[in-house]
Amino acid sequence: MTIAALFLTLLVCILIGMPIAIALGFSSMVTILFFSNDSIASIALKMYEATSEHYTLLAIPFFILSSAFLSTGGVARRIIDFAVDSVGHIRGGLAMASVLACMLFAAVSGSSPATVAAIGSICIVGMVRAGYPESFAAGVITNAGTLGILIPPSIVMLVYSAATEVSASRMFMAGLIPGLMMGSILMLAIYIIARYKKLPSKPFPGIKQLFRSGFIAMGGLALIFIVLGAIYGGVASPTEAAAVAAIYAYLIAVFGYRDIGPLKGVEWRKAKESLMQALSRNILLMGLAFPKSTTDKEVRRVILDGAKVSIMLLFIIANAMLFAHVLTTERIPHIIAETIIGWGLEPWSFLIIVNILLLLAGNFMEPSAIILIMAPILFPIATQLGIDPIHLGIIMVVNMEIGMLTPPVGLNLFVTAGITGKSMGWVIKACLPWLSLLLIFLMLITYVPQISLAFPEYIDKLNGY
Amino acid sequence: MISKKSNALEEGLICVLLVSMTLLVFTEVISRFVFNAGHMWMEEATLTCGAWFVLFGMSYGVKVGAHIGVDAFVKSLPPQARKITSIAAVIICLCYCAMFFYGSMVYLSKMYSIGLVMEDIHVPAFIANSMSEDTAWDVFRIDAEDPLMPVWIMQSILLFGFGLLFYRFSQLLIKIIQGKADGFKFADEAEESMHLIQEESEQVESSEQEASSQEQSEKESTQKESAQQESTQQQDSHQDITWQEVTPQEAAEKESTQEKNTTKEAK
Repeated sequence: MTIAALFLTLLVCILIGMPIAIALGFSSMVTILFFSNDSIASIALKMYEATSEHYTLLAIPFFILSSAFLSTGGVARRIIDFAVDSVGHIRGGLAMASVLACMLFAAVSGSSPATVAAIGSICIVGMVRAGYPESFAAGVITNAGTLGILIPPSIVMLVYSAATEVSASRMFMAGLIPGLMMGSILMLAIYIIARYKKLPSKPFPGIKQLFRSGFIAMGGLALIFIVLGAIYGGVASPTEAAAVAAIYAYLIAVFGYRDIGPLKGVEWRKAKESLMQALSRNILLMGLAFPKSTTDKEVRRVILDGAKVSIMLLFIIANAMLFAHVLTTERIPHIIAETIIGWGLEPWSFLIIVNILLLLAGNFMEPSAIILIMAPILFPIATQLGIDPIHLGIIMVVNMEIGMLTPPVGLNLFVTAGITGKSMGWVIKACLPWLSLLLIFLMLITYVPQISLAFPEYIDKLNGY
Repeated sequence: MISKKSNALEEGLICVLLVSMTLLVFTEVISRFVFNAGHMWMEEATLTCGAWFVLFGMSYGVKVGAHIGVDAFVKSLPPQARKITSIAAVIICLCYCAMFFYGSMVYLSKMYSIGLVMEDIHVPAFIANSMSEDTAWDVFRIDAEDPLMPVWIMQSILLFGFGLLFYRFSQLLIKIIQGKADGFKFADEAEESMHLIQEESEQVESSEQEASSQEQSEKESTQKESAQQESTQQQDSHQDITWQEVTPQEAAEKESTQEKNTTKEAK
């Protein structure tokens, strides 16, 4: 009865187009008021606690802020330059370089659609000019863009650890190998196709050029090393690493790359300027620019953009915690788990059901919303069946990746359609061969837990557990 | 005029909360690693900022359409039915706000009557000293001997936030009834990413224009360079034009500077 009331209200609320956060909060509140003895004041307290008692959750606004600073076309261009210089000379290298660029940019920005937009708008045109079929180029980029939520630091993973109270650091460790693996699978497939179809390659630009573009791209990419290094090394919590990353991203975007803010368009070194002159001029300008950047319009817009996304996510999470609270007090996952075990379901068949369920949900909702609703239900069942929570998390994230590629709410499809100016049908067709690759990868991840678990366990061993 | 100012105030406060959260955690990290010292109040302050950020920001999210939802079903309805469902949805949202508003009021008045205080955040000394001991306790529930911040002040954002949220939803309701809006405005991440595409195409265009005159492209390449390179001008300007693969077709197509560059590079 309670289960039916809760889920029915939630479903109706979502269907009639209410914001997901409020649909979650409203259905849980109604259930609490009708089926339990909790007072309305205690719900208000729960709401406040949900927003103020989770230090780990604060990593989300910080990561969003840092990615807002670095998700610009300028950063994408620098990363692409580096990627092309490093793998462009292999056959089909341009496509492989775009995959590499997607992986790197995805790690910096943490958002799939933004990755497709930033990398795709440069790479698809470039590939077509170089003689690649357009559908090939579009398919590669749209798929590689989904790596954004799998390669750490990833916001979807933080959301999962918020929903299940699994350690976010361990999720970040677990995501690394699957992310790299998916990237290499894509590159391998490209290489085979390129051999077969005789796609072009670019001459090697020379070690010097590679180092130069690597050095320039490193400004943005260092963020990944700071964050992952601090987390993997156990030096800092994800929240602290994220705060440092946000400050670093601000410094790089405003003072290093100068894509936004008061120093926009100011050169590091003018023509025919001596090193000392350039150095002193830059130091002076930066000193002046620092106070200026606090009132700068562009900087403020970036912060506000980051704030909007963070508020949206944190508000859903706060309501989802209320929802999770109802689930636990009414022992709903427990009841479902007992029923399922009563059917004699094996873990592997449970995982198939999970995958199908998530793939279906992925067609209609955003990744973080799905995870917040499904994770508190699936998590206790999985634990009872002996499935590792970290493994379940990675399975969910990979499912969400595929959800980005399936209509009607496949965000990446919309972006690619926007870049190429083609119809959705065309984009879907272009993605299909690569999507099947992703599905095979999902099977691998689902049934070989070692892929996700090996790296966190290795780090545990290093730390002597 | 007033709405413009209140908008600036709203956005300003949200930015300040987010930035101060970030700076608080950053300072904490620095003070721990560099000075090997920690401050208890910082963590509590960060978390309170977080709560204010979300609870204050949620109404702003409704205003600018930052929240997400599923509108596939509603969009498939005929206009009249769509209007009715949207009105129903907003009314449920209003109920949600009203319930939370009432709940917060009961909760906060309890906090006030008990006089519960925060764990580590103190009332600034100049405020605590400016009033007599009796008013401090009777009006604000501040204990003069140990002036910790009262919980009811720190958590009053609950009341304020849900009040504002109620206000934003009622604005939306009026708009829908008047026919000025046809439902919730939801954030679309795909659409938001589109500005990256436009930005990019503009840049490509401009850099291609620049490439047509050799001087300018030289200038741009020096701009990107730092100290270590001077010799590879030609190579650089090629790099800046956008990376294009050297295929025979392309070289034939682009006869201007690019071809020059590529041939020079080949040599």
